[in-house]
Amino acid sequence: MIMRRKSRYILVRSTRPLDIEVRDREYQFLKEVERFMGIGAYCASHPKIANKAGSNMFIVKVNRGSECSFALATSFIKRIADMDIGFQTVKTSGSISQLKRLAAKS
Amino acid sequence: MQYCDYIRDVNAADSKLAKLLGFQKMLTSLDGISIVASPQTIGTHENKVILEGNCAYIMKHVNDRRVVGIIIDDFEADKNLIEHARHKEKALIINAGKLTNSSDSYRARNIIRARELVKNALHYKIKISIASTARTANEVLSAGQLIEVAQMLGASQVQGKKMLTILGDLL
Repeated sequence: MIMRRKSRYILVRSTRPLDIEVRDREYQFLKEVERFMGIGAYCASHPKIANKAGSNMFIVKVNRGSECSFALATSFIKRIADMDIGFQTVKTSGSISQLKRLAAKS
Repeated sequence: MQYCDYIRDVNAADSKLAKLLGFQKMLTSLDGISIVASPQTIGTHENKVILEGNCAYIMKHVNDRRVVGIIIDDFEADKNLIEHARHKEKALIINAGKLTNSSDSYRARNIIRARELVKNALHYKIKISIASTARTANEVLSAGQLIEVAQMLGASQVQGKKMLTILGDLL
């Protein structure tokens, strides 16, 4: 029997429009997250872009318990490829729908 | 809990953005608190002032009644300054923006020094706060991120949350 993996969804806001759906951008963002989290914490967290929620917001799925280290890692990311950019974690939730509603409201 | 942050860039502060990031208010120099950095003097400032500089600069100006907080450059504080700050009831503000924006070579050094500073401040029971002091929109951090940075520097979660409320009390 395979045990269900428990996860959390984090709404992340970028300071400029970032086309996170483009595979290259997603890879660069996750590469920076890995750089600041460390390989061990990154593998334990297993972050993945779950959904795009606006021009400068997206939802990241992480394993439960690692949302704090993910938030800390994103605060250190200031550059992706050639772009100066900053990231802020807006809210953490157990479901995507609540975060989508929050993103639509803002 | 009413969390506040201090932003240097007046254009980046926005009440809607503040609410989205978990703050009651993003303070700027327009709200009656301004940062006076070394080697400037306080002069005829009417507002409340946060001093920013090295220990020698801060010791020279900290007795002014307009000073409500201090930001120590390079996070190096000596025992005299900490005791003086405790005696005069000035808040020690940790510059989270400097920690997160440092280049690779200085980041580890700044974090280690900031950890030492926070440890001493908590031990001597000084009012300690944390702020992003963002110069641009890219340097703004959310309330959750500031609490995580405070925990990285050695504060507990309760202490980290309290650190975000101190800035609002300075007004």
